[in-house]
Amino acid sequence: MSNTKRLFTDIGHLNDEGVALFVDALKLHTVAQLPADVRDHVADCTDCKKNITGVFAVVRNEDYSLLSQHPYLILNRTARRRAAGATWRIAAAIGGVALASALIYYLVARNSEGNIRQSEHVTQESARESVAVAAPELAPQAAHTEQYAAAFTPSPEYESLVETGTRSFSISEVRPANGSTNQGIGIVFSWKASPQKALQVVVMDNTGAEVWVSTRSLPPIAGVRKLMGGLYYWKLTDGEEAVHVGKFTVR
Amino acid sequence: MRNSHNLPEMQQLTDPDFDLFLRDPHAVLLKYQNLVEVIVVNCIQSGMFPLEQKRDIIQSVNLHLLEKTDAIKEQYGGTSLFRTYLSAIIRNTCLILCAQVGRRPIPVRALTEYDGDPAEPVDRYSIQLARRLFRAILPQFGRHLPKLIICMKLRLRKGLTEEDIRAWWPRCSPRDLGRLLEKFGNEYQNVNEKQVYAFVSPFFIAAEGKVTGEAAIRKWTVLQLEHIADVLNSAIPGSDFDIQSVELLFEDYFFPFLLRE
Repeated sequence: MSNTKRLFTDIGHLNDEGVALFVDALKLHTVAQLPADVRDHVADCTDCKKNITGVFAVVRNEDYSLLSQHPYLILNRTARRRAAGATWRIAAAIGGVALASALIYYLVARNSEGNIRQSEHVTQESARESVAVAAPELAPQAAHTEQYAAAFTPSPEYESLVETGTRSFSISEVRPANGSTNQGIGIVFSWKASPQKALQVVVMDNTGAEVWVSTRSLPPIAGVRKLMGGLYYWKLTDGEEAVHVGKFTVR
Repeated sequence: MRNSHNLPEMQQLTDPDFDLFLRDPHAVLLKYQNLVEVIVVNCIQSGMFPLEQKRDIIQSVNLHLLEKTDAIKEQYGGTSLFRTYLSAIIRNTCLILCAQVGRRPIPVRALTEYDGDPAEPVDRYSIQLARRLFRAILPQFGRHLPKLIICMKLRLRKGLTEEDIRAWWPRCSPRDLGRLLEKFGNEYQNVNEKQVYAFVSPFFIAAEGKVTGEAAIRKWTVLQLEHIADVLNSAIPGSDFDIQSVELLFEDYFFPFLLRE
């Protein structure tokens, strides 16, 4: 069966596998990836919350961070790789279109004026067609607003880590400051670490997906990726553990 | 994009531990002895069993798992990690064993009695555990979470942020946003509960598209607090969480002040 019925008991609660899947998602910070009917049921069901929390309690100290794959959930690392792959594919497509356009322009320029007019007519028609195709893809204002708002929803998992640190490091004078609002480009990450050590900046969106990772370095580090509007979390890591977690907003 | 309603069409049982379990359940049990012990110790820490029964309980759990081998092979569909699935089975087994011996868990000191002294190991353990489980409970509220955050901040007189309001009410107009932030964005400890609910009630009606009176908002909030206390008491046998202790956990969630883990 391909639907989610197999995660529920006959009386409509999550079965052991459904509970285990939810616990996996909590451990891996991927609750948003769970099937909608699983999330909706748990949101309303105290019994299932009890089971999930009970199992979470017994595996709370288990380390899932080294997991390379999950049978259902897409791990953030994988998501990043896929996102990067998609970005390259989009870039390649845009590049291909640009190249084809340049070639068409070159060929058209060599033709007679009449042919140029005809070509312009064709191009205008194509433009109208492309607008007609693109228009339905534009999300309605309400949906766009909800999507935009969703990007600002705080992550319970990361909220609890904000401003936590480690005993082995003292981190101060951190920028961007917690809760600060920034432009989507040119964010500079800086801090003072004692003892001084090269650290890596990892920026995550509010779903926990990593959106940018710096090379390990001393501050300041300029974020090179343009970030869309939303709430972001970031951490400083020495390669083994997060020595600081902060958050900021992009407008 | 993953279809949020359907599981993968062909679920591949790629978990190597489950493959091994199909061939040799004893080998998997041997491999997972550490997990069994961790869960049993966890149950002992929460007062379900006395420490001296540890080996007997581990044996009983192993026996139960062997008896359930065929059922596990049949029921596990490969959607979750096999390790987590087995953890759920082991925990259920412990609950059954605990019920069989009729043991009453050792009471855990209520969180409201916490006096800030980090030296006492029992307090430290209970509070850290409660804090961690509480933060695993919140995401389970799913679509209700933004409303819960708003209601709890209002109840505890904590400042609302634009993110809080937008997450709860995506179509909130800039004017309404401004009014809410002006009233509740900063310090408002001196505003009493009645005034708070009287002010926000029209906004709740606008946000939720249904008539939501002051009493209904208060009642809904208390109900969620009771649910969370119920879930915590279930997950930590012998604990005694109530509305006040859950409020304390929310206080800590908004502005961490308890023990650092």
